Amino acid sequence: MSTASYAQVNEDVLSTLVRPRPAYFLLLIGFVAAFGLGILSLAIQIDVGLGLSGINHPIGWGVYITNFVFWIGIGHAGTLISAVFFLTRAPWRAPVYRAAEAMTVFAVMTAGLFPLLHTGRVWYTYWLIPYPNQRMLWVNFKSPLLWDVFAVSTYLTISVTFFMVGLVPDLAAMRDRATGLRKLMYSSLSIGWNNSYQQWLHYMRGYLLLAAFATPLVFSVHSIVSWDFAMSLIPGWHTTIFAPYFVAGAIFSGLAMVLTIVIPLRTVFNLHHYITNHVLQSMARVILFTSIIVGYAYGVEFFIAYYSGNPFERGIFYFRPFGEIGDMSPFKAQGTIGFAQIAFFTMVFCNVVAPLPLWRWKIRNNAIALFFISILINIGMWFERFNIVVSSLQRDFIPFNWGTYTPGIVEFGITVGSFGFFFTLFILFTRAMPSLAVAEVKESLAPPLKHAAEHH
Amino acid sequence: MSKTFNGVWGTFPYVDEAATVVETLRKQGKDVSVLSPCPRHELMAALGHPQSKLPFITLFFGACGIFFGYGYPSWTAMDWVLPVSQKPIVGIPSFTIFGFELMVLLGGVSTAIGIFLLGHLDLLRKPMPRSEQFRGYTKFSVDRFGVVVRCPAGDADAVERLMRQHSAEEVAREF
Repeated sequence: MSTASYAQVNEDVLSTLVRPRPAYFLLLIGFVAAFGLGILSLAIQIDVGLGLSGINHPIGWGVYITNFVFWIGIGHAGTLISAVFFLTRAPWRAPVYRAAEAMTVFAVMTAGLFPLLHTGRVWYTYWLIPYPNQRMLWVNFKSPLLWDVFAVSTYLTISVTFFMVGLVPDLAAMRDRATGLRKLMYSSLSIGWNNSYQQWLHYMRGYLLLAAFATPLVFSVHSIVSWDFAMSLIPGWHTTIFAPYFVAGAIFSGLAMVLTIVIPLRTVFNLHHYITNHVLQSMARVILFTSIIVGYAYGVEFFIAYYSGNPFERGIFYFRPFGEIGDMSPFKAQGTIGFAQIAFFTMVFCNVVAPLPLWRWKIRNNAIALFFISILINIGMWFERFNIVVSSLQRDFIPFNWGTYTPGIVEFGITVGSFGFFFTLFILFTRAMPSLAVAEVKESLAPPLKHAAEHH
Repeated sequence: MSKTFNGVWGTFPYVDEAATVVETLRKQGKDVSVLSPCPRHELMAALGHPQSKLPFITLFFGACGIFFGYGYPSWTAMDWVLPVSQKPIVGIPSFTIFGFELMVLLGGVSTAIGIFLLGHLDLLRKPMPRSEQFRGYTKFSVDRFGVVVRCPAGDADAVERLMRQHSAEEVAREF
């Protein structure tokens, strides 16, 4: 726990909002350029059509759905830290929860774009909403795809609500420091907050209720996303393990992304007193724990395929690591080592092998090592999503229906653009809003007491 | 209709001193409010652990969400009947997803609105000082604790004396 005073917390956190260094603008330009590449790629795809991507029969779900599942998973850590660890009273969450929550909001915003881009004609997006229409047709409420629409839009709304509610006391603190136009802006956003107990009373109860709602929500969202696959009959998808497997993977990848963001953040804004090594170590422990669950799930998938006796299930789990089904001398036949096999081994290395050094205290205590491991996990989790989505569709029940998939250049551009979009939003957030929760950090400090002051 | 503030307010650098003043005044039957940079259990205890009515709002709207989440898909299923093999037309297990999601959605959004609505309603019932000195005081969001006492002018001396005995930095009256 930091030994800073209440006034010091205000000073340290709110001073991060002063004019940034040139490196900030260089980063911003880089992220905006990546985002621009995504916009350009999307414009080309809309102009030419979805045929420009690698998506074709039988692989109807490619990189866009991979990105959707990946970004939804990234969002999970924010809610886990802000809601689940709030209810379990984890003391280390206070310094990182604001950044993690912002990350959730931006990740879910990014994720929400992909099903729309994937449909091709994005201007018909409103067809997903169950509104009374001219022909009195309704959307299919029994379809997992519609469950997804409700789950993701609820998750985004509740994440934004939770984020904004948590920000209000800090916006009031910023209003009290600001002048001119900024004061007007923060006054409007803090909606009359005056730090009185008439407000704190409802705030504390409301925050607890929101955390209680967000906790089952965080587990339900990725379960529902996993049912997009598990409710189908495709070998490799049709399995009951998917919901917990997806949730564990989401927490794993989300916490890795929190580390990727928070480690540079504490260096740039000099927040070592608050985001201490203990905080990073605590996150590393949860990453290690979820890595074990994910590794176990990989193994169980293979065991289920073997034990089921189902040749199609066995076939897809042979295909994923070794390539062509039926060829018992892997790596020899032409074309056996494709993108699917590269994705599989990258996934296993990054998600199971790369986190193993976290067993050592020295590695958990080393921010640079944690940063690089977190990057590897992010890469590994993207390939895990790719492995699940694409490889299963490549080899289904009928060999005549088999196919291969190579992502198109527009898919690459839009994927890079999604990272640009996410990081642009986050870097703008660090400039406009406090990256640490001022009021909650104060709650975790020793309060100013007279007898303590006299003792000193 | 909002009331006008009449009473005394003071600022404190220490939470324990502010809590002592609040508890003493509350036991004397005074109408007391507190301001602080973050929620503190010492102050909540001194105020006698008041309870928020917010959970009732959450419960009502959460229940509406469950009703709507099951009701709307059921109504659309009956409105345009689409038989699929022998599956039930109104598939309650499938609609549980919507019941849950809309419970969270309506319950969560109404909670957020309720936090600020109830806070502002309480401020109308228990008004704060309106002087420039109070409104321009910005340290309640930094590191100072405030005690606001709504009382008749005759009690002001006793209240001010108590505040000064407990390390109050600034004490002001508004009548």
